[in-house]
Amino acid sequence: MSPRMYLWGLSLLPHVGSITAKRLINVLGSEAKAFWANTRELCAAGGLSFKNAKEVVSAREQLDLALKWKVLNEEFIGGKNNKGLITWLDRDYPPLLHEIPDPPLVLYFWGKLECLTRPTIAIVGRRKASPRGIGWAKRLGRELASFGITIVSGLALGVDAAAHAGALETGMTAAILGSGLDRIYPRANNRLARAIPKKGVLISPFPSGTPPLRGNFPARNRIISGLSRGVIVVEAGERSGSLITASLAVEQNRDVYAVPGDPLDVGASGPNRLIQDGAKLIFGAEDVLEEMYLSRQLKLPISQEHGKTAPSEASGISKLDKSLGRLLNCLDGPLHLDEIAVKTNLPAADVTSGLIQLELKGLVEELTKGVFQRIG
Amino acid sequence: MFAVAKAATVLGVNGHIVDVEVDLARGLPSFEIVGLPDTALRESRQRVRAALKNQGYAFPMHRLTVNLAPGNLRKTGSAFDLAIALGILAAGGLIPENRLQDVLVLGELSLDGKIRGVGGVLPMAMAAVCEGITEALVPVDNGSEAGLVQGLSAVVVQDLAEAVGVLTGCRSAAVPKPAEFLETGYSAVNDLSEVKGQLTARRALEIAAAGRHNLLLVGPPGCGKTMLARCLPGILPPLSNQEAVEVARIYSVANGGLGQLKLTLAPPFRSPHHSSTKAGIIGGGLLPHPGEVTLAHRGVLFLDEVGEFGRSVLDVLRQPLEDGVVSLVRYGYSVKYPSECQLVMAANPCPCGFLGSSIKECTCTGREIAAYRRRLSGPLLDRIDLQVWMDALKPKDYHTKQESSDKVRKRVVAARKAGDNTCDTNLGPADLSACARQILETAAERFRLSARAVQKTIKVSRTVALLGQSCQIGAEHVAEALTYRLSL
Repeated sequence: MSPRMYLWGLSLLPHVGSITAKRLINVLGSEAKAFWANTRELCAAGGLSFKNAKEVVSAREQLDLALKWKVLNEEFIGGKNNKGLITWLDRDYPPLLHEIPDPPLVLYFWGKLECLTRPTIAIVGRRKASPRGIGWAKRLGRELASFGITIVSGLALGVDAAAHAGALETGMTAAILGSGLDRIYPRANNRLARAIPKKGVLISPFPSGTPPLRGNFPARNRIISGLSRGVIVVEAGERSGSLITASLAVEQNRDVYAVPGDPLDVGASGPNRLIQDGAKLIFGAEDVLEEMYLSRQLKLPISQEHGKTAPSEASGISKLDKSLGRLLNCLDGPLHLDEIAVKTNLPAADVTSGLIQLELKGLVEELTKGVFQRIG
Repeated sequence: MFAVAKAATVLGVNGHIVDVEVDLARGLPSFEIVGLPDTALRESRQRVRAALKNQGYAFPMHRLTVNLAPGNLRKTGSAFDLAIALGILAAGGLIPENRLQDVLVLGELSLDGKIRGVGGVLPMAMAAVCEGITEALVPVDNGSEAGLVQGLSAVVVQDLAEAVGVLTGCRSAAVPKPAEFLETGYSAVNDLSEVKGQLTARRALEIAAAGRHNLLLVGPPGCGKTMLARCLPGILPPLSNQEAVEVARIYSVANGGLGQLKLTLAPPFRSPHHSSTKAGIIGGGLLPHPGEVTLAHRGVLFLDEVGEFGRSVLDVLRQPLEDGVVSLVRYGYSVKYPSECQLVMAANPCPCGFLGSSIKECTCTGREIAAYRRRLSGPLLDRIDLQVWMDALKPKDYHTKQESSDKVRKRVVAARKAGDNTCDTNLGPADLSACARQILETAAERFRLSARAVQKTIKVSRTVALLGQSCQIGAEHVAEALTYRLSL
């Protein structure tokens, strides 16, 4: 019976977090002993209350660890769909996570775990982000990923989803879930979640079947910042989850970057506050790269698929007719169709038809409904 | 001592001729109406009795039986009063017996013998012509309706005595003026020149008008969704005379004879409140009554705040919108109401209305938004061809000058004409140009369009092409149609 199994067993017990587990293992000598600790040991070594310790013991008695372990391994060792489990003890456990005070005992993953060996940056922000915020997240995700950086985020709506989507276009991304890998939350991101394992990885500290409970998300936020060398906050309200992630990042000795915004804007109050508190203000991907001692020269060959489309796009521009050029030129930020029509003085028919053509050519993108932004 | 008069009742929007048979027999004086009369009709005994007395006729002291044939058809309403009164007089010998044979007699009596207008005269008069009846006596209020019907010489009468006079030939008949087709209805709706900004939504409205597409407007409160929708009838082509009569027929039934019928060429516009019931929307009741979807026949049915409508209310709309007809089945009979209307729906993007708005923060939770969207989605959305996401107006838009409805309507009419010339509406992908096909394929993959969505896009592209007076569907037409694809 391997220590991995007992470590996994510990992760399934109630009231036993990574700190308690670490303490138990240190005092009692091995993972197995920690797992089989009696009530007295749990209280003395683990620091649990007597009531909690009794609950741990009764939960352990109901848990047929060996059988469950077998089932889990059968599911994972088949290796069919890149699913797996890593523990503290494994060599491929992300080294950055070892540095934080309370690294998760185990992580369930689905996809390419190796993307965590690359430099990592987290992008977090509001769920109800403005088109501008979505645009920033997407752009930062796309550009940073093209330098071989893995974009870490939480697969929430808004900024998170945009960062993942942007990163998937040019590179790799890791999504940390607050639920089991089989319970993608929110469901609106189902499609995105299915795309991630092919080019990145989905990670959860929770076993399959865990629902997205409110209490799971602090642990997820800790892993997001823990896995990353820095955290970029794009848009966040005051007292928001993103700011909690940012403060966790500070505790974990990570860099915090913030995209500034209008002081009167609710969505900008979070990043602006962070900048006031000393976070690094960034204008674009370069600022982050510089901070990470990566320069533009280091640019990795971007994925083949992207490389193929790029030249055709470039030649496509010259062929675009005048009104498309005018549309492209007026897009200095995210703009609604109506605003574009006013700005370019083109009829609505030309604007709508032109923007769709540009979107299909990959030159602009629709951020939120009816709001477009230029790519690159 | 027997006489027959002809009256009519309405089932659905069709008239049915009813024989009013009156028999005077010896016995204790009584007055009985048989043949499935409803309450209003049964009460006509009191009105007829009083009217006869007050017009100076003696009420026969006989056993009086009135039979309404065919006996298995339910008769509704008060339009039988005049026929019953005249039948009694004919049975009593005051009017030549055969005189009533070929005359359609319609009208409600007041207690003093004056004749009041009734509902449904237009379909009843039409039914009379089909049955070979050539003459009609109608209330003054309904004269213009009856006068419309070809092959029927209608006469308007003010009171019972006049009716008797006309039938016995002592009085000259007053011939009503048939209703005229009015185009004035257009002035009643909003004009597009009053709508500021919202250039994309205006364009979508024009496309919807040109192709009879159903439209969904999504945007924050106060951005002009309702106002735009109210402009739609103003840019639709005027109804043909035949369509106008179809519409008038429905309103003749629905209005219950309240005032003169207006024969307008402007398409009808109905916007039921979101608390409306199923029966209110598609019609219903024990004795069926047309619903909003029928009242919007050949026009526009506008559902404002569609998310607030009951789910079941929206669901019952599916079949009428698909088939263009509502058929309501009641015990023993069924009625059909026409319901070919264009559907326009307006909704907020979320319960508070400000999701994605550039002027105000949304205060809804994700769960609330998801629940709201779920209510919008569903089978009704399958009927929607065009969707526009509108944003709040910018202050600088307030002073822009915009095209008037008349101008837009001219383009719409031209597009419709072009569409009629190029035959069928099911223009298949064969008519797409090569680059149009390519853009459609790319888009189908990129936007993950279903087969239905692609079909809709082609349908809308065709309208866009027709609006541009182009004979082939080009890439720009498909691209524009794609902007208005359904996405919630």
